[in-house]
Amino acid sequence: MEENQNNIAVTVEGVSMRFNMPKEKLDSIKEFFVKLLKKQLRFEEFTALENISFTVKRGEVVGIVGLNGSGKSTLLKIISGILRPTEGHAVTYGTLSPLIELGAGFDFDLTTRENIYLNGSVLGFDRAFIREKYDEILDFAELRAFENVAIKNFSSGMIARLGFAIATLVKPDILIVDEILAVGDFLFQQKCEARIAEMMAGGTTVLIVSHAMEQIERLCSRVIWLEKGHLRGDGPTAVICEEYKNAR
Amino acid sequence: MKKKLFYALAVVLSLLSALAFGVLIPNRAALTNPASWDIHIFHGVLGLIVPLGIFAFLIETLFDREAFKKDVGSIRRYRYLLLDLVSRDVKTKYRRSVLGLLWSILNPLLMMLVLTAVFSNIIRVQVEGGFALFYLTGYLMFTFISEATSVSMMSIAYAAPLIKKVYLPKYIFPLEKCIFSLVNMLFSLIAFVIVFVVFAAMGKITPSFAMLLFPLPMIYVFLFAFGISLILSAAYIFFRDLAHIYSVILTVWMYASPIIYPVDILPAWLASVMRFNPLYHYITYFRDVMIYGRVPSLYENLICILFSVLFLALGILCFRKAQDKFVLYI
Repeated sequence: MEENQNNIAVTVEGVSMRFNMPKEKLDSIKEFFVKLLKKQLRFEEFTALENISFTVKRGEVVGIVGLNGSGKSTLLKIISGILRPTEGHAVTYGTLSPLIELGAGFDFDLTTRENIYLNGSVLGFDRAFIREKYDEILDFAELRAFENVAIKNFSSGMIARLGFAIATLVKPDILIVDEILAVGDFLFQQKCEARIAEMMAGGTTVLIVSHAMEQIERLCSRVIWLEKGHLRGDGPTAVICEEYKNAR
Repeated sequence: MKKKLFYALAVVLSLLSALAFGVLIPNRAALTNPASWDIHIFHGVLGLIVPLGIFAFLIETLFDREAFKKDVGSIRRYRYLLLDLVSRDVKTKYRRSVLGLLWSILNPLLMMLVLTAVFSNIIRVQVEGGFALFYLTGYLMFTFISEATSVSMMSIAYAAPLIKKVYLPKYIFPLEKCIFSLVNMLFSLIAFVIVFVVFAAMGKITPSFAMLLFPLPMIYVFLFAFGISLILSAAYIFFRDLAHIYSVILTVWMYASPIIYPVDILPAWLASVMRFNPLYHYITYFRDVMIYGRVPSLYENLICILFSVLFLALGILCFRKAQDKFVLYI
């Protein structure tokens, strides 16, 4: 086990995720009991992921592809610990930065400055550490002129920039990127990619979900292909991407 | 299987303790206080529920040590988040109001003036030390509990955008709301100090060293409120009706607690029922310390602690059972 931890970053073992979709949303106890008595309390089971297993080695850059609703985001959420799988388990070794949705935890009534501290602590950073990196964040997000403005006045691009700047503050062992590079103008996208590339060079393991095949082909060394919650393919980028494109 | 054995043992031990507390100990207490049968029942019930709650908590923790370690470990990591959330709440609560934080002091003062006018002139409730301070102490305690629990109840649901996107220990949210309410209460305590100083200057009351004990009842009541908050915030995710029911419960609870009336005006049977209301013990403790300069006995401390520990244990128990399902329901 100890040996494993030295070169394995993520283990996903037999992970299944099933959601109970109530046919109608029950929001009250009365309704609940009425339905219970009438035996109408049926759930439609929806399987988002079915028995997924794979391991990711340290330093690998893995792209996850699949059509909408194939379970990509669910998988990333399970790996980052937001969701607990119905069966199986996912283990990560080392620190983890999830870039699942930028600016999660922003309070739109607070200013940029306050939000930097707030979001930093949401991600579990030390207060002193954020103070030290404060200028770096402002510069990267190009928001120095808006330091004391409530972020409800910001454009979505500005918020994404701020979120990215805070989330990538430390070099994590594992970086999880979900579709976030689609926001912002191309200049900022280049900047983000440069930062991710910098982390990859430093040995960070990266998991990327993207619909931009061109991006996947450029960044990843390995691709995992999900289809309707099943693992359809797992292998070198060139091979899987070709199959995926042809399948469409 | 092993778990069932532990539970069986816990039930047996709890029954024994119920017997011990219900039968033996009141006899000694009866020497000083020639109370009737009701104290036996009270001690018996307390002797049964408290060990049951604590045992259940210990057994579940024993069988899920990972979750326990995770929760304890995350307190340190997320302490800044806790502080930030509290300071955000304080900032946004009074944002755009001219008097701002001063309202935390003014509100209880104004409430006190209104109720004192009504209850000492129109309805004429007689209490030791004057109605104003009597009411203020009860009001502070009750407002803390009602604010902490009702705000906490919604806290998980309101944090939905956050919980869906980042991993955070979920108990942070009710805990934060309880701390926020505690901060509010500390501000409101200034109102008490103002009135107290005025009364002392008028010679109606004398300050005592017992007042230095004021953090104790606040710690007890905080733990109690936190336990309730954990239960409510978890339950609210699954039953949204709770918000409506709870506001009614709070009103009932307010009138069932000695806030605007002293216990001695109650008929004997109601006074014995009152013992089961934890708030009664906290308020009495708080008044003893703050107004009457009495140092509460070990027994009174024990009752308060038992209620706090019981609800805290139950709260953690329920919350931990439910927390993995939150994401799916919010």
